[in-house]
Amino acid sequence: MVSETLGATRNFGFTLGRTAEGARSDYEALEKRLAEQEKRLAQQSTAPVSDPVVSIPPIIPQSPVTQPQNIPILSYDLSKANPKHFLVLPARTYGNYSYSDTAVCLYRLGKNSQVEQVGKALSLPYEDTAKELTNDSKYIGNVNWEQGMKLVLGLNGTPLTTRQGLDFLALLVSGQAKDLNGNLLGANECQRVIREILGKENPWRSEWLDANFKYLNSKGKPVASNKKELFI
Amino acid sequence: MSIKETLNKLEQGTYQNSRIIDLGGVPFTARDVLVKAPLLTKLNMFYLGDRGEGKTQLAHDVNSYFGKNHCYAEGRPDFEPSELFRQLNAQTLGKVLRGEASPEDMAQIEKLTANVSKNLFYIDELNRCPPITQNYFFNLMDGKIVFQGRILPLGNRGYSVGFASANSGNAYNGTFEMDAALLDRMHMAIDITHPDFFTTAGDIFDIVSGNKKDPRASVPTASGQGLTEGILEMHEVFKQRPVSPILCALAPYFNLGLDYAQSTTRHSKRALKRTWPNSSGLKEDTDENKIYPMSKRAILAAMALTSGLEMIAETTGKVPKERTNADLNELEVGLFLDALKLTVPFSGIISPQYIDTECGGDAYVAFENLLGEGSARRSEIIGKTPRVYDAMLLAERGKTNTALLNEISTAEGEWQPVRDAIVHYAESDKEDLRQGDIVEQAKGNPGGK
Repeated sequence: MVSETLGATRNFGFTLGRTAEGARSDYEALEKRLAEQEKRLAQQSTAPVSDPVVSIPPIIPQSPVTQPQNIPILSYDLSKANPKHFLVLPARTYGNYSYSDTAVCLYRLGKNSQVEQVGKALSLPYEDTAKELTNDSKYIGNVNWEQGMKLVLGLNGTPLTTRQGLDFLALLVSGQAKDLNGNLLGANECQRVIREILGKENPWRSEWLDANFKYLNSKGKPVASNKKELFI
Repeated sequence: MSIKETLNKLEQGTYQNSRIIDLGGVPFTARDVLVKAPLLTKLNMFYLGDRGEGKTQLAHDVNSYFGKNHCYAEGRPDFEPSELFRQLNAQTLGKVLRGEASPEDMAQIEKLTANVSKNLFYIDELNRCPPITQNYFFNLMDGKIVFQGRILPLGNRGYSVGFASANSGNAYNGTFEMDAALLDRMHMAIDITHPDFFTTAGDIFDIVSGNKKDPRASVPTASGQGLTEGILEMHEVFKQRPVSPILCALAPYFNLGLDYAQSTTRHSKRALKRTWPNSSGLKEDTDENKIYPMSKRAILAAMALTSGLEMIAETTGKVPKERTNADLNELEVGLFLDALKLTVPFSGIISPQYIDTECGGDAYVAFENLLGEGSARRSEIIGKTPRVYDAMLLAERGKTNTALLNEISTAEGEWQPVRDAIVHYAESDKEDLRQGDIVEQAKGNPGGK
């Protein structure tokens, strides 16, 4: 049977200078930390929904959200889509660069009849190969950057640029993000999307943006990204 | 003889190399790594390197440590290890020739030689044996022979270790590619002419300015038992060393975790069989097509090697003082990852195409890119180590904590096997695992827990 004694070891002794006393105090500290963590989580679950993010300062100045009209979307037929599944990214101008109000889907793209249609035209068999970490939504996970870009364009959508991608995340953090009905997104939903994109999770995941970078060596030849000497 | 005395005596020999080899932040001597660690742990060792740089000299030193208890052979195309262990029984043969042999006599026409009880088996120029001949070495390196339908252990007092050497790069006339299964059985494989392990300028000066005028490797001079008794006693102590909880928890990562391929049908590199690393489903922007999962044998060998290096560091006072258990865990994981440098580069788990096309043919560069200092994978492993330690502290007491396990893994992927293993341990009543079990399993011998 398993011993309940603090610092007790069933299989393992202490090598390399580690001590039973050290393990005992580590265990005590761990129990304490986990208890505090549980307490904190319990408190959070009873707090108002928007609390966790209102303390985060906005990264970008807020502009009034206009009613979405004729905006390019990252989905197929907006009228058929659930307006709660989209966030309105307000129009922005940065020097010579600007973009109009954009609806951004809060879920990764999954297979449907329109995707199949585009896939057929492109001779690319798009399939749902992965599942979102934070919900049961399946998505097309086995595409490379080029295949992903072609699919979005084929659906008459617009891939996010790096600037839009950054603004999108900043908007989620700000707590001011609104859905297509003009309602503020809940803090939990914002955090869910942030975790889905930025969380260091397994399996490894990332987002394709409308930008392509290559790692080159000093001779301009593509090299592996983990090479020590490289030029981007 | 104390362990310290044995280790000190193993520092002596004709092969000279004063290179300091940093593993996990601990400074080891070249002999710690090339000689003491494999002898202490009873792990097979494969020396690679250019011609004329000391492989044979090192071989003679290692043989001399065992006095008469070593068996030395040179690789050649027609070599078959069993010729070391079997001979015709002259008396029975006489009976057969005279027509006087009974059925029992006929069964005894072949007998074992005294070589079966030697402790060290050294094959020089192993890659001069063609692949078909290399297959005959599997049992030798596993410490056993098959004789008249029976499996017999080699060595005495449970100790037999295989050493071999070969010219690296297969660039010499009369040499062959190494068989992957044999390489896996050579638990450690080191290119002694690689800059990290090579002799220093001072060594070269001493060698050329010393008494040695003959360019031939000096032949072994020790007779009798050599250091056999001390080496065997040292190994007995090693066998009783406890197994590291952190490394046990991380082991599934290197076997099942490295097998994970996100976008393939079965999420498994092994399932791709021979199409790895060229299968279309593999991600090219990660290392999915560069590193293959380690075998259980290779992981066991690396764990034993880590423990052996720890024992050497403890005995020679090289373990940093006044560190917390958490610090020492990190040191151990770093040591384990660096120990992989002594086992992985020639083991066949790194894609040969990657080594050739992206690393200039240098297996060590490939290793450093994938698992070395500064690699993403190494950072991730070191980063997860504190959580793995915490989870194991609970598991030792039969407990788990979901939030803590979520910090290790939340969904299927490379880290899920680590999470599963910790939960399994928490629910099991497994007890008393020692290094002796680890080494026996690495040698493919049953009986380990």
